[in-house]
Amino acid sequence: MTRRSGICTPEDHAASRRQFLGAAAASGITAFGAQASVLAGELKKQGKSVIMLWLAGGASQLETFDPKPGAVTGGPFRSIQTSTAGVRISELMPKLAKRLHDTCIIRSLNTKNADHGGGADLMMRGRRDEASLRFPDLGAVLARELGASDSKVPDYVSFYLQTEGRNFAGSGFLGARFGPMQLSQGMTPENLSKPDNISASDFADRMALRDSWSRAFEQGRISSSLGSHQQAFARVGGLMESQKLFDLAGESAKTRELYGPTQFAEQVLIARRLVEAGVPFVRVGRAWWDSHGQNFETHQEMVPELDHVMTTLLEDLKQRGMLKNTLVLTLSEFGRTPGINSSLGRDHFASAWSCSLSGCGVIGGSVYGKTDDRGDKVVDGEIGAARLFATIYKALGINPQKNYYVGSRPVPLTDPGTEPVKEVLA
Amino acid sequence: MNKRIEPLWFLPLLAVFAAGLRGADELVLPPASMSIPAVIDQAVEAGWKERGIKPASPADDHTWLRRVTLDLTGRIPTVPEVKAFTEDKSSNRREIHIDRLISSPAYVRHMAHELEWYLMREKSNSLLAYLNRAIGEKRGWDRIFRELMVANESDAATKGSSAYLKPKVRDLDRLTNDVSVAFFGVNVSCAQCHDHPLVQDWKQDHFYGLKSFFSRTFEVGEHLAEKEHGVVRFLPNKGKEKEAGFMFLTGTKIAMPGSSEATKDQQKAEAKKIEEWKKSKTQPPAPTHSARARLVELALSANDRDFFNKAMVNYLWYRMFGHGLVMPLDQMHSENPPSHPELLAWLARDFAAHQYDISRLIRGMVASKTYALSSRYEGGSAPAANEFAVARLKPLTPAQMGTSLRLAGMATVKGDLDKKIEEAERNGRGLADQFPPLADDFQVSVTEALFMANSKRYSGEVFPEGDDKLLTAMMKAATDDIRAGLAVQSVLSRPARPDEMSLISHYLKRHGGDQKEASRQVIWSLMASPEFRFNY
Amino acid sequence: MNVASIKLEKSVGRQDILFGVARVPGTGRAYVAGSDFKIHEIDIDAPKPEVRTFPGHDTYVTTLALTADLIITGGYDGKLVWTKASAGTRVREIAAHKLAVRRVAVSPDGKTVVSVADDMAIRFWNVANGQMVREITGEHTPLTPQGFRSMLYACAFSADGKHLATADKTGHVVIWEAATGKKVNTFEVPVMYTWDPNARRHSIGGPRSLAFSPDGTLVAIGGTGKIGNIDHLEADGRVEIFRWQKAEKLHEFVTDGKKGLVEHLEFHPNGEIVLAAGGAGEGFLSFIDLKQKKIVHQEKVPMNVHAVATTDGMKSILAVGHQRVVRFTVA
Repeated sequence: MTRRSGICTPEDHAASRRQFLGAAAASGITAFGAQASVLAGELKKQGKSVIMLWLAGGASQLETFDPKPGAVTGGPFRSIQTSTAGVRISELMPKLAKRLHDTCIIRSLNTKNADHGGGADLMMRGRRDEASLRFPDLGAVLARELGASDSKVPDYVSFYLQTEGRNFAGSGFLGARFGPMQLSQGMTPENLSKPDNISASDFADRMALRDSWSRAFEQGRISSSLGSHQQAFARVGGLMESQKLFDLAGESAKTRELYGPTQFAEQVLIARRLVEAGVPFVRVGRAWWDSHGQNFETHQEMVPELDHVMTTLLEDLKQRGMLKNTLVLTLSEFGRTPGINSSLGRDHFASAWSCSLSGCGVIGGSVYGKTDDRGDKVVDGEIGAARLFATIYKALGINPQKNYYVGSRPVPLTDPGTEPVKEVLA
Repeated sequence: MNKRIEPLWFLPLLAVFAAGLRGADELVLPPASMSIPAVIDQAVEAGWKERGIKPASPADDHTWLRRVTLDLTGRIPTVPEVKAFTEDKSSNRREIHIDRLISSPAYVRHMAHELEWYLMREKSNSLLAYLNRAIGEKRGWDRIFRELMVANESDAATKGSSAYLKPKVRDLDRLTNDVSVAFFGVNVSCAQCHDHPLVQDWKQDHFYGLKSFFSRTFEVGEHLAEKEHGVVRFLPNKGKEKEAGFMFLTGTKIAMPGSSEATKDQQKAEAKKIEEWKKSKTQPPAPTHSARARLVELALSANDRDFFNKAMVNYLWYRMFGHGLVMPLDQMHSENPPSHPELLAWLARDFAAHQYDISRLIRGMVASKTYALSSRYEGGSAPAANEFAVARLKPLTPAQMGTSLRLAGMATVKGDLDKKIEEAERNGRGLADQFPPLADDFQVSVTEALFMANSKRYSGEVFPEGDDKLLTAMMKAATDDIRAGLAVQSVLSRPARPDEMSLISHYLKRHGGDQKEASRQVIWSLMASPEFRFNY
Repeated sequence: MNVASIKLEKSVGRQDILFGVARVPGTGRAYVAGSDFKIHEIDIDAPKPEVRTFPGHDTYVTTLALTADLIITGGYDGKLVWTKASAGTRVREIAAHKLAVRRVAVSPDGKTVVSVADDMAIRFWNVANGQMVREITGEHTPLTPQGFRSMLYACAFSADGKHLATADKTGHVVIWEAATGKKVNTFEVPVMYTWDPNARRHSIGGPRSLAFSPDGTLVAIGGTGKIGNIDHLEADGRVEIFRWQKAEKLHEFVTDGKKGLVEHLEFHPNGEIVLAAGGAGEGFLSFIDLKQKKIVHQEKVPMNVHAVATTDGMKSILAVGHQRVVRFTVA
C-alpha cells in the first residue's frame, strides 16, 4: 500500500490552474526580462547572514539540547541548569548553558527521514525534491535573497573537509550562479589566487580583452544565461580579493586563541570573517557524528568542542554588533535513537530531535517543543523541515511564501499554509 | 476540502483534452509527403505572419556551421572543416554537410552521450555502451524504448540495456515518474498535486496505473527480474485503499494476468524460483506475461502512442532550437498546449511513420531555415522564445566544453579527422568535469570563471604546443595580424573581424616582451568569451 | 585448565547495562552495577535473580570493587561510594573526581583503593576511612594530541601491591610505585587509539583494561585494533603484553574474528593463560596461552561484555555487560 506523504495535495495548492502552465508566459518577456523584474522589484535584505553549523552524521539530541538523565534512554551524562529558568541542557555544554540568552532550542523536530542522503537533502532544503524539480538548498536561496548580484564576496560558502557524508547538491533550479563555493580540500577555496605564472597587470589586461569580446557578443542578444556569464567574470577580481577573508593571519592571536586550534574552530572563525564582509550564507560542516558505536565517548569528545566554538562565535558576533543580523543555526540530517545499542551506540532517529537557532530574529533563551520522558516522540510543538525553514526565512525577513518561477510555474519557498513557528520569532 | 467542480463546466474542456490527445485527427496537418524542414518553416512563418513578428536575419555560414557541428557532433568545427565548408560554393552544401556530420562516428558518440544524460540525469557512463551500439546501428527510438524496458541482458544486442532500470528499481515511485518524463513527456507525480479540470482522483489512478507496470520488477543480485503476479494498492486522497489497475496515461486500461492474488502454491513456486535465480547468478528469464513488455506494446499502440511520439520530438526540438514546442518538457497536457500544435502533431506523425528514426528527424530540423536564423536581433526587443524567430543561446554541455577547448587549441588537423576528434573528446574529459551540466535558464557560476582564470590545471591543458597546435602556429607566424587571425579562427571558428584583428595585434605589441605568454593570453580571452561558451 | 571445554552455563537477561561486577566468595552471589545507577546484589541461580538493591550513584556506575565487606563503586558523577555489603548500607560517598570515574582498583592488602577518572587524575584512598592518601596529576594529559578531551580508562595493581599501572585513551601506559606515587616507567600502545583526521575527524578506542602477571614482571593491556570506520567498533580485540621494567613489548594478540574492546584482562594464577573479555555488538572471551604465544580458544558471549569476575582458579567465569549476565564453566 502506498500513501502519498509529504507530497502536496490539491488543497495545499490554492494556486490556480494557469499558474503552472508553460506556454502561458504570453507576456513576451524573455527569461532575462522576467528575472530582472523579480530582482529589481524587491527589497534586498542586505546585511543579514546565516552561519550554519552542520553537524553532519546526526548529532545526538540526548547528549546536547534535550537530555533525559535518569531515563533508561538517558545515557551517563547529566543535565545542567542554563541561564534560562526551567531549561536544562546536557552537562557536555556548560558554556552554552551559561549564555543561553541568544539561543532558541527546538526540541520537537519530526522529519521522518533517517537516512543520511535523504535526511541531508531534506534538512538542507526544507522539503523533498519532486521527481524532476530539484529545489535549491538554504544556502542557494539565501544567496539569491540576501546576496548582491555584483558582490565582491561569494554568496554561499560551504566548508566540508571530511570525506564522510559529503552532499553537495546545492542550488537546484536556481542554477550554478547560486551554487556554493565549496571548500573540500583546504581552508581556502580553490582558484582564488592568481597563479604565479602571470603578472597582475597581464591578468587584468587579459580580462579586459575578454570583456571586449563579451561586450561585442552581447550586441543584439539578450539572455539571462548570457548575462550570468558576464557577471561571473566580472566577479572574479572581487572574489580573488576575498581570499584574504579565508586567511586567519588577518585575525589577532587573541581571537584565534579564543576560538581554539581545531579545524572546526578555525572554519567557524573564517565564517565570522566572511559574514562580516557580507557573505550571506556560510555552512561549516562538522563531520562526523554518526556514533553507532561508542556514542558516549564520541559525544564526550565532540560536544565540548561544539559548545566552545558555538559560544565563542555567538559572543564574538555579539561584541561586534553582528548578532542581531546574523542567524546561527545548528542542524543535522537527523538525531539519534533514545535506545542504546549494545556497542553503547545510538542509531539514526528522525522522530524526535533538536536543532538550535541563535541571533537574528529569534527569541533567545527559549525552548520550543517537547519530547516525552524517554525522548521517543514529540509530545508538544511537533514541526517538520518545512516549518523550520519557514521560521528561518521569517527570522531573516524573507517571506516564506515568496515565489520563484520555474518556467511559469510558481514555486514558493515553502508550500502555502506552512506557518513559521511564532513562538521562536522575536 | 477539494473544490467541487461543476460537471457541466468541464465537459468542453474534456473534449479539448481528448482532442489534444488525438490531435492528429482533429487538427489540419500538412501532407505527410512534405519534407520536415518545409513543414517546420511553414508552421513557424505562419505564426510570425499571424502575430506580426519580424524574424532575425539568417545566420552567416560560420555561425551556422559552428551551431550544427556542436548540435550534431558535440564539438566546434576544426579549422580545415571551416575552410572546406566556406569554400564550397555548391547550393546544397548545407544538406551535404549535415549528412556528413550525421554519418560520422562523432555523431554516434555525441548522441549516445546526450541520450545518456537525458535518460539518467546524472553523471554516469553505465548506459553508454548500449546507447553507442543502438545509435550506431540506427535503431529506432521505439526499439530503444522497448529494449530499455525489457532490459534483456542475455541477448548480445541488448547487453547493457538494464543499466537504465537497474539503478531506479529501488524506488518504484521515482522510476515510474522517470519513465513517464523521459518517454512520454509527462511528469505524473507533479500532475497529482495540481488542480486540473479532469479531477484529482483520475490523476492518482494514472500514477498508480503506470506504476503497476513496474511493480513486479525487482532486483535479484546483479540482475533485474519480474514476477508473474502483483498489483499496486494505494490509499487515495479520499476513500479506502484500492487496487490500481494497469492503466496508461491515455486512460486505456488493460487486464494483466497475475492481477489476482497469487495462490499459496503460486507464491511458493515463485519464492522457489527466486531462490534459484539468486543462486544461479545469471539473468532470470522473463515472466510469461511481462508487465513491462505490455507497457511498451500499449504505449506504442496506434491509439495511445501520441505521448511517446511527441515526447522525443519535443525533446529533440528543445535541444536543436533551445526551447521546446511544449515547455516545460515534462508538462505535456491539455492545459499546456504546444506553441505550434499542428507542427508538433505532424512531426510526431512523421517520426512514427519513419520507424522513429532519430537522425532523420534531427536532419530535418537542422536543415530548416528556422534553425538557421541568427541569434542576434536588431531593432526592438526580441520576440518570445516560442516564436522561434531568433536563434536561442544554448550553453555548451560539459562534454562539448571539454572537447571544444581541446580542439580550439589546434590550428589544423593532421591525419584522420575522427581520430583527432576522439582524442579531443578523451583528453577533454578532465576539463569537462569542471563545467556544470545542462539546466533550464542556465546560470554560469563564478566557480567556472575562477577556474579558467586561476587554475594551473586549466592553463596546463588548453595551450598545447606542437605542429598542429594553435600556440605553435602563432609563434611561427610572421605578423601580429596573422597571429590574430589564427587565434580567432581556431577558437571561434570564424575569421577575425578587422576591429578584432587590430585589438589583438595591439595587445600582442603591448605585451611583446614574452610573445608566447601574450599569445596565450589572447587565446585565453577568446576561450573565456561568451561566444565560445555558448552555442549561438 | 582445559579452556576448550568452556561451556555457557547460565544466561539471565536484564534491563540495564552492567559495567562492574564482583563475586561474593563462597557463594553464587555477585554485586553488579551499571546504567540504572544502582548497585545490585544478584544470584543468577536463584529463581528470582535480584536479591537486594542498594542506592548507588547519580548516574551510570562505571566500576565496582569488593574488598572484605565493602563494595566500592565509581561513576560518571565523579563520586566514589562505599557500601557495606552485608548490611547494604552506605558508608560514605566522596566527590572524588571532577569528571567520570572510570575504574577503581583495590590494593592486594585491601588497605588502599585507587580511582582513575576523566579529569586524568589518579587518586589513592584509604579504604577504611575514605581519606585521600595521594593524588597524581599531570602525567596523563587532559587533551589528546589532537586537542580533544582524553579519558583515563584503566588501572590495576600488581599482585604484590608494589606497583600500579594506568592507561589513558591515547595509549599512554604508566607504571607507578604504589607506595610513593613515583613514576617508574612508561610505554605506548598507539594501535589501540584511532584518530581519524580525514573521514570522520574524531577518535575511538583507547586501552580499556590492564593486568599484571602473577610474578609482576608483565603487564597486559587490552583494547581494540586500528579502526577504519570509526562509527563502529569494527576492529578485532587486541591485547599487548609488555615486560614493563624494560618497556619492552613481548607479544601482541588479536582476537581474530571477535570484534570490539577488550574491557577485562586477567592472568590465570599459573601465569600462562590470560583471559581477555569484551565485545561490541556481541561479546567474547579469548584465552591467550603465553607459552604457545597464541590465542588457544575464543568463546562467543551473547552480549557485549563490560566486566568479568572469576573464581575457582578462573574455572568459573561470570561475565556482565549489555542487558545480560552469563556464567561459564571451564573444566
